Amino acid sequence: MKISNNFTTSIHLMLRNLIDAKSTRDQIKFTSAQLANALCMPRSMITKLTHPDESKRVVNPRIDTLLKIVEFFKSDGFNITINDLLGITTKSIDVQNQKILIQDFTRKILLHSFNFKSTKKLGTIDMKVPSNSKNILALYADKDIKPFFKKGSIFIIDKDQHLEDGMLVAIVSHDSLETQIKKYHIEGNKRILKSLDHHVKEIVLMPHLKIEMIGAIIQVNAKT
Amino acid sequence: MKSMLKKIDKMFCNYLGLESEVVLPTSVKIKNNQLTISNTESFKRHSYTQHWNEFSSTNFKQLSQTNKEKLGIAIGKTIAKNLIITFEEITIKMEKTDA
Repeated sequence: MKISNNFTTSIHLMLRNLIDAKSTRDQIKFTSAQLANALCMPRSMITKLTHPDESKRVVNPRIDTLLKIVEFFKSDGFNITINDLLGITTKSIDVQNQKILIQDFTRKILLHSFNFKSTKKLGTIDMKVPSNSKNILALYADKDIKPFFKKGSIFIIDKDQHLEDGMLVAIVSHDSLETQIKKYHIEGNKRILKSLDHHVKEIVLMPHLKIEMIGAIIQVNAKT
Repeated sequence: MKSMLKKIDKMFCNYLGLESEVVLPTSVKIKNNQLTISNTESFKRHSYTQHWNEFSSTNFKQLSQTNKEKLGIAIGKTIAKNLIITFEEITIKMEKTDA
């Protein structure tokens, strides 16, 4: 892990993004003054943290101030950690050291729409996939899957794949017939579904939630 | 004078095989909800970063098939466990329906 050279720039941007994201999500304007009230802090404190002018921005905020901000947004459903606020980046993956997988076997796979309950199939695709499972299906994204995948991307799902922590899964919530792409996490006894978009609230799997797990996503044919 | 120098420079570059500028992705990471690619340019010592959307619309098409595959594997690992990203053009074959 690496801390960005100037983490005060990261705090300033991240905090502004969070305030904006809360306004967008709740469809009610959320201001830095309201944040200051919620945190029992002087308004000037938040202003100093988010000020666009670097010379007027606070240089070295106290750790308890940052923790209070993180706790507030976490309890409000945002998937945020102090690392995100400080601009600590995730591990980077080296590209040139990757070993190319030799997949000689092309398979014919049924392609469905993201509206999984629809019985209509879109057709078939021929694709090389890293699995011998007979329970493979493909889903066609008819809209962008934020923040990484564009409309037209195809998600390959292995219904037989054992789910492990950190895998990408396709689910259908009974509230909406749309397939959703989530990241599956195991934390103790809890099974958590996190969105790829960090601003979307995570779901802790409970029996009453009526979420159907379609399977693990093993490959994505990304539209560029 | 300037155009003549440009021509001489071009001749030297062609002779030395420096005519093509290749941007190579070196590492991938997710930062602040965005996929970021670090690149190096041939014959330059520095690297620079681009967001995926920008990279895919500019430098991606110029990559060799091998580099596209390596990039797909790296992006897959960055996003989730046991995930591979591919970028092939896929043809959807429509199912024949009985009349």
